[in-house]
Amino acid sequence: MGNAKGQKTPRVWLVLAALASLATVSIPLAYLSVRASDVPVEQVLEVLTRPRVGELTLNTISLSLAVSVTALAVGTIIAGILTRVRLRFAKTLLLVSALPLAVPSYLASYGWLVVVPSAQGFVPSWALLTAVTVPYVTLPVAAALRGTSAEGEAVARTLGLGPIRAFWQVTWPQVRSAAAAGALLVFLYTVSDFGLVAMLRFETLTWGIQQSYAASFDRSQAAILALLLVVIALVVVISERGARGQVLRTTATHVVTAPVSAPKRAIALSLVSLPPVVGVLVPLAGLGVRLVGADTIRELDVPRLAVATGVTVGAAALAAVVAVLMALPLAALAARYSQRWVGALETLGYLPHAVPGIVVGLSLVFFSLAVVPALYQTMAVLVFAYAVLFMPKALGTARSSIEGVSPGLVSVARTLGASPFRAWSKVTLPLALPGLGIGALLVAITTMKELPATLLLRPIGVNTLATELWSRTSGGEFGGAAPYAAVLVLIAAIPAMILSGVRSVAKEEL
Amino acid sequence: MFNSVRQKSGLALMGAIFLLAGCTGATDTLSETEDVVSAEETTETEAVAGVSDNYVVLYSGRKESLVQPLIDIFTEQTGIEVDVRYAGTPELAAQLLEEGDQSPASVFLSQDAGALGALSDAGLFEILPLEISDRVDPSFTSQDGSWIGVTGRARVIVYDSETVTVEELPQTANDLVGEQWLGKVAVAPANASFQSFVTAYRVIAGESAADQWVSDLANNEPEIFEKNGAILEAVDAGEVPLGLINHYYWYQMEAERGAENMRAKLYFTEPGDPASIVNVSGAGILAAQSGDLDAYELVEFFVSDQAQEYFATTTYEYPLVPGIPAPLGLPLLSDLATADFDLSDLRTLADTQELLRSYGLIF
Amino acid sequence: MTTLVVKALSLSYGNRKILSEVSLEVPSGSLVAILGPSGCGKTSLLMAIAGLLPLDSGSITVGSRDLSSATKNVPPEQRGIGWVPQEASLFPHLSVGDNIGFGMPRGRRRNERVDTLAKLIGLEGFADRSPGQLSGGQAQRVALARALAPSPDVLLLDEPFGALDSVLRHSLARDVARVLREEDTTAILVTHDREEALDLADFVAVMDQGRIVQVGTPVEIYESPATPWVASFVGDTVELPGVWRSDTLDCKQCGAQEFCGPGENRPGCTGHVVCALGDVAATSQGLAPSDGDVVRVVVRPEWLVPSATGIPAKVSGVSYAGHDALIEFQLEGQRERVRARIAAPFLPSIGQNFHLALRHPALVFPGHPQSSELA
Repeated sequence: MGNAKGQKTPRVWLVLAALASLATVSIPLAYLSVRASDVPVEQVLEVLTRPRVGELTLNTISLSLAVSVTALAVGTIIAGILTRVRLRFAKTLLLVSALPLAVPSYLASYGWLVVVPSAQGFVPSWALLTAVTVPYVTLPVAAALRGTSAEGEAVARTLGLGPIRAFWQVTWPQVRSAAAAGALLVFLYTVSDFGLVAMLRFETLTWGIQQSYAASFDRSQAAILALLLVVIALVVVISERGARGQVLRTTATHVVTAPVSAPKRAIALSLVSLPPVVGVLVPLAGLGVRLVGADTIRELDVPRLAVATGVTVGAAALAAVVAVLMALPLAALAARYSQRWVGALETLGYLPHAVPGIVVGLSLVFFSLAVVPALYQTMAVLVFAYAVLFMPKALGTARSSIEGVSPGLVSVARTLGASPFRAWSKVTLPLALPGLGIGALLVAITTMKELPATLLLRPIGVNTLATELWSRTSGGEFGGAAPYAAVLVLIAAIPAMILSGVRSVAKEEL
Repeated sequence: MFNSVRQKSGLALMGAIFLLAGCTGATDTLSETEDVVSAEETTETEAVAGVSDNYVVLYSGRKESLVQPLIDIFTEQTGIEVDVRYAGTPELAAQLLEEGDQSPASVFLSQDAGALGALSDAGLFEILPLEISDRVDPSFTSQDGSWIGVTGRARVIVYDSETVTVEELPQTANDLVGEQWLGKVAVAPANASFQSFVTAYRVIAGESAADQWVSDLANNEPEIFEKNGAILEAVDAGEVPLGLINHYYWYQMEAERGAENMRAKLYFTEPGDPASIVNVSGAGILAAQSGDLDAYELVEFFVSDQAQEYFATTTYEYPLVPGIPAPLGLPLLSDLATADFDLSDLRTLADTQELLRSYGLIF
Repeated sequence: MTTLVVKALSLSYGNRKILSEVSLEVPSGSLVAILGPSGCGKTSLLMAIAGLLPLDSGSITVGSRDLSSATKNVPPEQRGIGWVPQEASLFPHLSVGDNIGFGMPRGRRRNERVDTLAKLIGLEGFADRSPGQLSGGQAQRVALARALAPSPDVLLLDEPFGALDSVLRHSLARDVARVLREEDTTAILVTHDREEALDLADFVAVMDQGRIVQVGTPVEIYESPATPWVASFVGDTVELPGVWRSDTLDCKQCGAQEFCGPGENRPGCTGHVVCALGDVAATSQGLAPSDGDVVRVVVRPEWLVPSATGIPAKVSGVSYAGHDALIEFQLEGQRERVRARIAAPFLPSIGQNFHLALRHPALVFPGHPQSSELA
């Protein structure tokens, strides 16, 4: 009655639900395949073998790797400082460290260009993208560190290891998977970003994709390049799985913060403040400069701003719920079953996140017209597009929060008469909820900032803060754009700050 | 010269069509759509037939703060409700191509002719009625009547007035690739307006000269930007001394910041030089919606005197309808070069892109 | 009735065989301890009974219900078998009261039952507390109450006292046994602590490497272990080599006379053995050795007493435990050393000379001992 490997096999309905989620999220990939196959193979090869495409690919890879590695290192260090070093206003600092999430990358780069007009190329792109994505690493690592005790490190110190080696050898293995998951999101974000690198004039594959649409009006060429992006993402997603390591459900007895000398404290504070300053303060200052110099500060149409805000928040909330629901079956599958095909499914779930927003938008134009034309250009398709785009953000935290619920608890519930469904809904789900909440918040923040897919799919006459902002900045009206930029950052800052306070699993077990 | 040849053939064509159409004024023989157009309504002023439901959907690649006031005037005057989708021209073009004949849009207002050409090539546009397409000078509109030019924008040089004197400025496109401008010229090679400029060069100076020129430009270490707006920002900030943009961007920024604050200034190269050719923005009617009278009215409105004056005074773009004065301070439209080629001809565009690609200016 | 019968249960995980042909009968209302070292498979056995692990072969029956068999595998929630895991595993997001009542449908009956059980485990008034506020012992008691609340047919306890200090362990164990008796629950307690097993259980099943080696009452297991390994696992032993003689000793001369009581030649006293302790009465465990066979002699330290007659020995070590001490003796003129358990407070000191006699028949097993090491 046991099976050959001695492992459980997942229930059929769970697998089917996961496959359904995967299918919807793979709509962009299907679209890309259709468009790429519109042209003969020779043409595909011709595009792929152009030297410039090689340059663009190299730029994409080098930038994304640089940003991911830097964000990983900086984010972990900052998380370590925030949880282990005694700082005044620690809670505020944690809140502030999450703020860069609220700033759209195109806004960050624009603001910086006002302040430093010569900013151009790899280094500014690297620095700025790192600043706005560091919270993807900082927040989960801080949450993981809060769940581990510093005792192991203390023991290592008594055994002669310096503080850094102690951290590396004792604590790092426990938070490694949280950090790796965050770094993966950073990579996928960077790979698909266009606004920032366009403004900072660093030509990546997304630049090539945009050119294909804007100059050649060649959707197939764009699709070929987008598929190249997906392949790059595939490699990294697979590596992240390898880096994940064990799931450690440790219980923290208490976490001790260590006092440090004043100079070290100053260094720590500077490091912690660096991403918010680079990613939030300077861009907003740049925008402020533009605002001040603007002759066209028209009267603010407050009702219009309010409507856009309402649409933005509403769409983001809906998208967050839908994305988490879509992520759940896949996450539950990946959390409890270790078969290789399960891992492959999870990998596929991350891939669409590498696809630029304009491509996802077009793929949904294609798909909804083919399948549900009545819903085309309605909020339903738009929210669905957001969920498709951003489900991967919810997938990692959903999986790890379900993993964090000990199977022992579920077994106990079963012996108390709970059916598998009841055990899931009464035990696993409530305990995983904080982690699911993190995923939902991440999706919400990113949805608020989304631009290209929104432009294509929004119902006519409906605008989000991001589209209103775009409409003004693309027309050079920065005076009129400033209020929208300000409100957008403010609104997105709210979930960012909530995120900084959430723990990854409800409570320690006894 | 060119103009008169075109005008003559245009006249001949018009005459032939009138003969063919006869006096019934019933059927739209110029339509290429597969839909059967029913001859339900005619008004005295319109020689085309179709349906009107007082509603039309417009996809606008031009920004809302510019277009919406015009649309509001249109609605007020005609009672036709217009729903507008505002987005970028490339995105809208791609969307229209994806949508095909399922598109809800009737009219597309495009920022550049390249997008119009792409859609026309894909057979998505309906051939416009003559009385609409005839309002515009033939050199500023499509050759097959599938779209119409609405405004003209000249290619100009924008320069940093604090570091460059007027005497130093290049007079022609050839001057641009001189040694003194090594690493000092900003261009947006992926932009349709730049590509039109290069196409114009090819037509005016010939292929081999154009090849040499592009090679020289590429070797001159130009600063590559994605958009004209970004070039202007950079010049105004003193980042780069010289840039090639469309003229109206400068006026847009001046309106925002004030003329006294503009470090960047405009300069037109000598008349007839490709570096000051005129591009157009334009509009077309989606073939899937052929027979939508409201769409005809809207497009007609764009090239009405009223709208043309609006563009001239609001964005300082060139009106393309004769009789409307050009914006003050700008060279006359007739003085600027208009090369003899179809602005939206995709084959020409593709060749230009191949040329730019071969020297690494675009991928 | 809720007699649990496990028959020929085999279970493997991957390629490793965890349980081999395990058979066990737990009479209704009794507490059976499964005693064995770490890794012997006892937790897996428990989980199989609970329905949390699938079997390879065998069957599990409670009363007249088939729970696991070749054709059937009843899911855990329908088995009516409660489980108290090794760590209390309380639901951290539910209050103590909600934890206890988890297995029952909401309503008055549940509330009453929760109150009753809270009182039973001595945690009246704790119902609204959160599990994070409980101490280890309190949490274990709540886990027990939680498992009992739905009135299961059988209760499984997996080393429930492992994480507690010894004082607490002892008192909690007694409380648990009391509660089980009051609820008349059939129970299986898994432990590696022999004292716990001997104290609490009605029957003890000794397990090693996936097999049940012996089942019996605590006295049987302790006094009549089936193998030397069982003997050493269940209590301290002294092991010596010896030679079997088929003739029995004269009762008057046998040091185990007191043990035997009046009458001659106790059943089981089928011969005697010659070893370092001299000629001693012996019971052969199950086997029938022949005269002159080399055998393993196993003796409990408390069976060795200082006596006027006996083997001379000198005290060479004292292992003090408060209430008694294990005294190590060097047998004079021999290599062997033995240990005897002497009750306090009259404890000898190192260097003192005694004579040692065996006042209980020695246990005899086939084969050679590993060495003359003390077991």
